[in-house]
Amino acid sequence: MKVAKAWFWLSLMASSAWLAIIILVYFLEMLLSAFRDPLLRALLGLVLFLAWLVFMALSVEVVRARIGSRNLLPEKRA
Amino acid sequence: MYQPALTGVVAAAVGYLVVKVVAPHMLRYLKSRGIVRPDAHKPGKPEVVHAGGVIIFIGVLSGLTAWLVLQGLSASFLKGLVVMSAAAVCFGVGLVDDLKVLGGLTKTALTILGIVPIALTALLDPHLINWGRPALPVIGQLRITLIYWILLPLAVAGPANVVNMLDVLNGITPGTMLVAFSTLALISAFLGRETALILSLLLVGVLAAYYPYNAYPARVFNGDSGSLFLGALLGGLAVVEHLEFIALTLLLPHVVNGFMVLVSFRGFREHRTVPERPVIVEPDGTLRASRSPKAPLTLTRLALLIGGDGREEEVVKLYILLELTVAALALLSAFLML
Repeated sequence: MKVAKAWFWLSLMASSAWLAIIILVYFLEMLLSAFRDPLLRALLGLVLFLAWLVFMALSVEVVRARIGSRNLLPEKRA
Repeated sequence: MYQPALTGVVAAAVGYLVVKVVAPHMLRYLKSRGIVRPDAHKPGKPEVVHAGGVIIFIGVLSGLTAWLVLQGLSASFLKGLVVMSAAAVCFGVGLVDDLKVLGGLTKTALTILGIVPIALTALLDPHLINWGRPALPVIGQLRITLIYWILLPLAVAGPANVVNMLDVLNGITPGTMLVAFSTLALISAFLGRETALILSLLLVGVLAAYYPYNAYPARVFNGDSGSLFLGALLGGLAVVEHLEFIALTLLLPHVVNGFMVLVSFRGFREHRTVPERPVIVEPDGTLRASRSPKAPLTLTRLALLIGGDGREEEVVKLYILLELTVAALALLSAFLML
């Protein structure tokens, strides 16, 4: 196993996730502070948060489908 | 922070010694009671003693006693006791699952009860636990709080379950948690969080003594009692010490893996009932990523697809390296939160 290669890509993924959370919350704060009604602000925040979760879930499913449909690595022969 | 650091070091030393003394006896006892499970990632699937979480729990409890002797009923000790109570709920759920298998959804639902000791204390003594409005690097204290209150019931159960979901290979959980709690101790000293500093140092002592027993080739499995307990401790500390984003960063590999598993399974499921394994074990013990479209996506499967087939100890080394990466991100987060 190429540990360094796997570590590099997984670290990149973790760092991207870390940055994505900060950026998402930053924009949510900016956007939601424009609304005065607390109920509307809460609902919009919830909808956007759930939309982000759905987007991430779809990304996982896309990766899983691609792994299943493509030969990313040569299969071991018996 | 000199005094709390000293208390933490003494508690860690007590925890370390107790684990070193108790572990061999506990291993013999668990084996004599037939509490063993097959090691699925080894050729021949040898049987290994299960429920090692009991050893970790005893170690933490002894360190907590040392903390009480040193500080008395101080505010930081009481906070630590609340976190321990929350984690003890998850430990109890895990222990029942270790001895008598619970369903995936039942187990997860029961761990939500872990927030109860923290919630009750916050309601009865708001000065002791001042929760709400978490802080993020760059942004500072958040104004949007509804999502926080919605996610609060999962503050203990979430970390507990994501740590449990990644506890699939020898040494992953104590190895990654050792890095996580060492980093948390450093950050707590930096940010002046007394309870988190003492409890993190205590956990470092306990895990340093326990790690050799679970490292490859494992002599004991942590069981759900161990993984749920350790995750719950981190989650509980995050809530009572306002270290939510730091804990989230330290658990990023676990959270990403947990999210992948939940999406792939379309919900909570006991791992023994999964029809297709994400990782295939070759007769010589080499791990290979499944190519089946029906197999769930996990971080280990992804790692094996990127890095190629590997041995169990190589994958564990990768996870510990990955934990060091997120530890660096957590330190950066703490620096940006100042």
